Amino acid sequence: MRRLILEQRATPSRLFSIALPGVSALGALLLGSVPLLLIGANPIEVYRLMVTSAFGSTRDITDTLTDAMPIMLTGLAAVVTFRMNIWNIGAEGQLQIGAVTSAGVALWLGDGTNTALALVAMIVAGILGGSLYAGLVALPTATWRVDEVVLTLMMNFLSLAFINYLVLGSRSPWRDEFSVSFPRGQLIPDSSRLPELSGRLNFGFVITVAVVFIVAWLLKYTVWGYEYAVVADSRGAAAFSGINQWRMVVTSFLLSGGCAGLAGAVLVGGTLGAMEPRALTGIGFTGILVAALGRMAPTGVIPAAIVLSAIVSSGPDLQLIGVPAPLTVVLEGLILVVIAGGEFHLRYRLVRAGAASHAGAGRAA
Amino acid sequence: MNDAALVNIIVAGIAFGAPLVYVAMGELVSQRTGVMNLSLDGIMLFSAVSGYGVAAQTGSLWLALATSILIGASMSALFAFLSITLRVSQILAALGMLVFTSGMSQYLGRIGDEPLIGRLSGVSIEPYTTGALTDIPLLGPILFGHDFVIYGSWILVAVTHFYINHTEPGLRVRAVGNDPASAEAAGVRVARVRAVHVIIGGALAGFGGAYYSLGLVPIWQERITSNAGWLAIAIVLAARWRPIAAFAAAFIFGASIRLGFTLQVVGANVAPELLSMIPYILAIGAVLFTALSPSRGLTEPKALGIPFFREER
Amino acid sequence: MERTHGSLAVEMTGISKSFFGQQALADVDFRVRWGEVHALLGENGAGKSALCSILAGLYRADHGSIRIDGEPVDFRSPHDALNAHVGMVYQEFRLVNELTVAENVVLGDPRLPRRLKWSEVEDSVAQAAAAYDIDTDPRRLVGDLSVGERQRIEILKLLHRDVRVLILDEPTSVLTPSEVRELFQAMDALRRSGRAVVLISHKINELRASADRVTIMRQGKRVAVSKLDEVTNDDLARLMVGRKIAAPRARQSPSASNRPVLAVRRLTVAKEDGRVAVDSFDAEVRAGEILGIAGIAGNGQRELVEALAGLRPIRSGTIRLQRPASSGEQDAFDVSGLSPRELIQIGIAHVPEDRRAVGVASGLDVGANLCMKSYWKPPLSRRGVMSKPEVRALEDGLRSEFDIRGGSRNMPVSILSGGNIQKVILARELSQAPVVVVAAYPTRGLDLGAVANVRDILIGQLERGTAVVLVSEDLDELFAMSDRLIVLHAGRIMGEFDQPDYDRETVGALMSGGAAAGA
Repeated sequence: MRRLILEQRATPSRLFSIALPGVSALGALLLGSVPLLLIGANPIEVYRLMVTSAFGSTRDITDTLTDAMPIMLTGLAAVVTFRMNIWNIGAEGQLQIGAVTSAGVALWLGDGTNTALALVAMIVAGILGGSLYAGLVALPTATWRVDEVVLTLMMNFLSLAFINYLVLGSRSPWRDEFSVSFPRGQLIPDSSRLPELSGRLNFGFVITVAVVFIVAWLLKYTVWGYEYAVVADSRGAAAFSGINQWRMVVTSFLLSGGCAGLAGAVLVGGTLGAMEPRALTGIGFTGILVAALGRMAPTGVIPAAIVLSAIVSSGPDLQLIGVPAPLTVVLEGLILVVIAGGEFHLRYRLVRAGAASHAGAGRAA
Repeated sequence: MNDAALVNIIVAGIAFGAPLVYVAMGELVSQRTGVMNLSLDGIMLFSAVSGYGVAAQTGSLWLALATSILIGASMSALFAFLSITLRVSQILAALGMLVFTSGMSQYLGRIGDEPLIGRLSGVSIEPYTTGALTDIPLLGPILFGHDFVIYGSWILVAVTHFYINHTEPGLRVRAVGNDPASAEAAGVRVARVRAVHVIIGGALAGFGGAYYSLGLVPIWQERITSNAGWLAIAIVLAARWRPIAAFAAAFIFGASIRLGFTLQVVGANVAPELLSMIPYILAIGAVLFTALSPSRGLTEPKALGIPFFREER
Repeated sequence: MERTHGSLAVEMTGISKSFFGQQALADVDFRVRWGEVHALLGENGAGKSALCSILAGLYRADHGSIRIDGEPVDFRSPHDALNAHVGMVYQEFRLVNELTVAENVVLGDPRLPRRLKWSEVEDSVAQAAAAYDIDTDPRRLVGDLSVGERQRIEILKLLHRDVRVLILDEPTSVLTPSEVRELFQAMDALRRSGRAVVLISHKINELRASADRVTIMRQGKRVAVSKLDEVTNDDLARLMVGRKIAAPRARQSPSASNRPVLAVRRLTVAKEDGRVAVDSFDAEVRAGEILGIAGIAGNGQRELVEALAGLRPIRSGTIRLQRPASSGEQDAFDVSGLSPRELIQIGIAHVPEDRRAVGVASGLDVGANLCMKSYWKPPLSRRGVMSKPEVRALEDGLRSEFDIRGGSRNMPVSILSGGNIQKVILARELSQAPVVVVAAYPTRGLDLGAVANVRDILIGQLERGTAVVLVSEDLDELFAMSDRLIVLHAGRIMGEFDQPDYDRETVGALMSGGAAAGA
C-alpha cells in the first residue's frame, strides 16, 4: 500500500524559500486567468499589457516606483509587527493619521517657511502621527492582551471617517472648496512639497529606501533587534532572560505605526500634494501583501512593493481593453493565498510512506 | 427623542442586526473550534454579488439565496484547506481570501454588457404582512412585519446556544477549541470538526451577505455590507463567544448603524462623517470592556488561532 | 472480538518511524497477549513512547503493520485506535482542563446520543466510576483536579469506552508511593479481567512489581523480550543501557565552615489565581553545597523556582544573597523584588523546568541562545549594537568547553537533542559565573549518557564555590547528589534531612503529605 504522509522539515527548505515568491506570483497569474477567460479576454494579452503599462517607458517605470513607495512602507509596517506575531492590520489607519498630521503641520507652517525645515517638520509629524495612532492600540494590547486585530481594524474605520470629515465636511477648515468633483483637502504649500527626482518620482523614494535599510539594520544588528528576535521566537524564553516584553510589543507597534505614518507623509507631501481620501485607502492592506510576498524580510519589501505596484497601477489601463479594474484586487488576493499556501512546503513535505525513513537515514548520516 | 424615533431605532436594530446575527453565529462556532476566519467581509460581498447576479438572471429568490450560501461555503472551504490542511497562519490565509473575495465581488459587479451595478434584479426578500398586528403600539412594529430572515435569526441564536452547550457535536467543538491535542487523543477528528464548522460559518456569512443585496438594500453596490463582516468578528469577541450575548451585541450594533441617520433626522447638529464612527467606537469600547471584565476566561477558546498538527514535536 | 486469555492482543511487525530525518524506530516488533501486563522498558529516547503513540494512532508508522486480536488494522488517528479498543494514557495527560470530568470521560464516544442531557451523562459517569472503584465528582472541572486524580480520570475514560488494550506511559512518575501501589492494584484488576496492559517505564524496580513480561528497547530497536521472572535486574539494566555509563564524578563534601550564600526566610508565593503555592519557605544554601528539593510535581516547586529567579512576584518573605568573599562585598543583601535581569547580573542562574519553551528560544541558533544572558553588555554589544564576531567567539568557546554537538550556525536550536539543548542552557547559565544555580528537573527526559553529563557539570560547579538548588522528583537523583534535602508538599516544608539520614520510606511519606515514620 502506498500512502502519502506529512513530515515536518527540521529547517525550512532553502531552495523553496528563495523560489517561493516568484512561483507564487506565477501561480496567482495562472489562477487569475480564470476570471479573465470568464469574460472572454486573453490572459496572456492582459498580462503583457500589465507589464508594458508598468515598465514600458521611463515614465512608466518612475510611475511604478512612485506607487511602490507607500506600499513599501506599509509593507515594512506589517513586517515589523507580524514577525513578532502581533497582527497590526492598522497600517491603513496609521497612514491616514500620518497624512493628517503631516498635512496639518504643512498647512500650519504655510508657504515661505525654509524648505528643509518644513520638509523635516512635515515628515516628523507624519511619523509621529502614525506612531501615536498605533500606540493607542499598542497600550491595551501590551498591557491587557486585548486582541489587536479587531482593534487596529476598527481604528482604520475611524480614521477613514475622520479624513472624510476633514475633506468633505461642510464645516471643515481643511476642505478644498474649489475641488468639487474631485474631493480633496487643501493643497499644501510648495515649501512643504518633496522635490521631484524624475517624472512623478520624488525625494520620498530615497527616504523610503533608507528607512527600509535602517529597519533591516535595527532588526539584524542591534540589541533591540536581538531582543525582538527572542520575543518573536518565544515569549517564555524572553521572560526568562529578563527582556521587558511590554516594551518590545509597544516599541514595535510604534515603529510599525511610524513607518505607516511616514507613508502618509510622503503621499501628502509628494505624490498627492493634498489629502485625498480615495488615494489614501487600500494602501495598508496592500502592505500586508507586500510583507508576505517579501517573505517577512524587511528588505524583501522593496522588490515585492515594485511587483505589486506594477499590478495595482495597471487597473486604469486594463479598463481601456474592457477588463474591470478590480481584476488587480483579485490578483492581489490570489498572490497572498498562493504564497500563504506555499509556506506549507517550507515547513512540511509530503513523502510516500516507505521513502521517508530512507531519505531520513540518508540525511541524518 | 420621541417614541417614534425610539421604535425606529429598535426596528433598525432588529433589521440591521439580523445579518450580523447570521455572520456572528457562524464565526462564533468557527472560533469555538479554534479557527478565526477574518475573511468574512469579503465572503459576504462575494456571496452578495453572486446571489444578486443569479436573482437578476433567473428571477428566483431561492436560487439566489442558495447560490450565496454555496459561495460562502466554498470560499470558507478554501480558507479551511489553507488554514487547517496546509496549516497556513489563519490570519494570513484569511487576509488573502478577504482580498480575493472582495476583489471578485467588485469584478463580477462590473463585467458584461449590462453590469450588475445599477441594474435592478426585481427580486427581493419581502416582509410578512401581518395586517393589524403591526399597528399595535410599540410592540407591533418590533415583533411583527418582518421577513423570514429576521425571524430566522432569532431561531438561529437559540439553536446555536443549544448546539454548543447541550449536544454531542457541541461538546466536540468546545474540546477542539480549547485543547485539540487532548480532543484528538479522545478520538475526536480535530481537522474534520474544524473544517465542518468553518464551512458552516462561511455558509451563514454567505446568507448574511445575500440579505444585503436581496433584502436590506436591495440592489448591488460595491462594499454593500459596509464592514458588517468585521463588526461580526468584533461582536463575537465582545460577547466572549456566548451566542445570547452575541445576539444582544448584534442588535445594539445594528441599531448603532442607523443611529447616525436617525440623529440627523431628529436634527442633531453633527457631521454625518463623524456619526458614521458610532458603530466602530462602540465596537472598540465593547472589546476593551469585556476583555477587562473578570469573567473573560470562561468561554474563551484557548487554542484560538493556533494550527494543530498531530505529529508536531 | 473473541478474546482468549494468552492469545495475541497486539502484534506490531517491522515498525519504522523517523522524525526530522532522524530515525526514532527501526524495524521494531512488539507483541502483547491478552491478560498480561507487558512492560516496555528503555531509556528516555529509546523509542518506547513513539512505538506506543503509533499503536494508539497518534503517529503513523513509515513502515510496518499492526494486528489487533489477529485482525490487521490501519490506524489513521486515535479515533480509529479507540474504535479498535486500543487507548493510551499519555504521560503529560490528554484531558481538556476547561471541561468537566463527565464531559472529558464521554468526549469522542461514538455511542453518545446527539442530544445530551447533562444530568444523565453525569449519572452514568458516576456509576461507571463507582464500578471501577474510582472516586470522583463528574461535575468538577478537570483543571481543578490533582495529578493523581487526572490519571484516574484518564483510565476511567478508556474503560468507559471499552478499551481492551491499555497503554500507560510512565504512569508512576507523577504519583506518590501510595498512589503507585493503588495504580498497580488497578492494573492487576485489568489483567484479571482479560485486558492487555502495556506499561512504559524506565524504572526496573517498578515493573518488576507489576508486569508479567518485558520488551526492552534501545536506540529505536527492540533488543530483547522476556518473562520478568526469567531475568535479573542486572540483565535488564545491561540490556536497556547497552553501554557502560561512566561513574559519576567524585566530589568532596563541602566543608561545614563554608558560608551560606543564599538565605530564604518565610518566603510566600502565590499562584496565578491567588492561591498560596509556597507557604513560609525557609532554607539556607552554603557555597559548594547542593540543596535538594523533593516533592511530587505541582506542590509549589515551579512557583518557588520562579520566585527565586525573579519571574514571579513574592507575597512576603526575604531572599538574601551573600556574594563570595572574592567579590569584595561582605554583606548579604535582600534580592527579593528584583527583576529577572537584576538577578541574572547579581549571580542567580536558572535552569528552567521547560527546556524547549522557556530555556531556549527554539527557533534561534545556538549562538543566539548562548548570549541570551549577557548580550546587553560588552563585549557582545556596545552602545546598543551587537558584535557578531564576539557572539561567534562565545559560541565556539562554549561549544568546546561543554561539548555541545549539532546545529550549525543559523540552524534552529530545536533540532538539537534534549541533552545538547540542556548543555546549551547550562553553558549559558554557568558561563556567567553564578553564585547560586537553581536547577529545576535538569535531567528529566534525558538519556542516561546525557544525565551523567548534566550531573557532572553541576557537580563541577561546586568546586568553584557555587551553591546549587536542585529541584527533582527523582529520589535516586536527589539522594545521590544533594548534601541536604527539603521535602515539599502543598507548598510547605514537610521535613529537612542531612545526607546521612536519607530514607526512602520517610521521604516518600512526607512527599504525599503523611507524617514521617517514627517522627
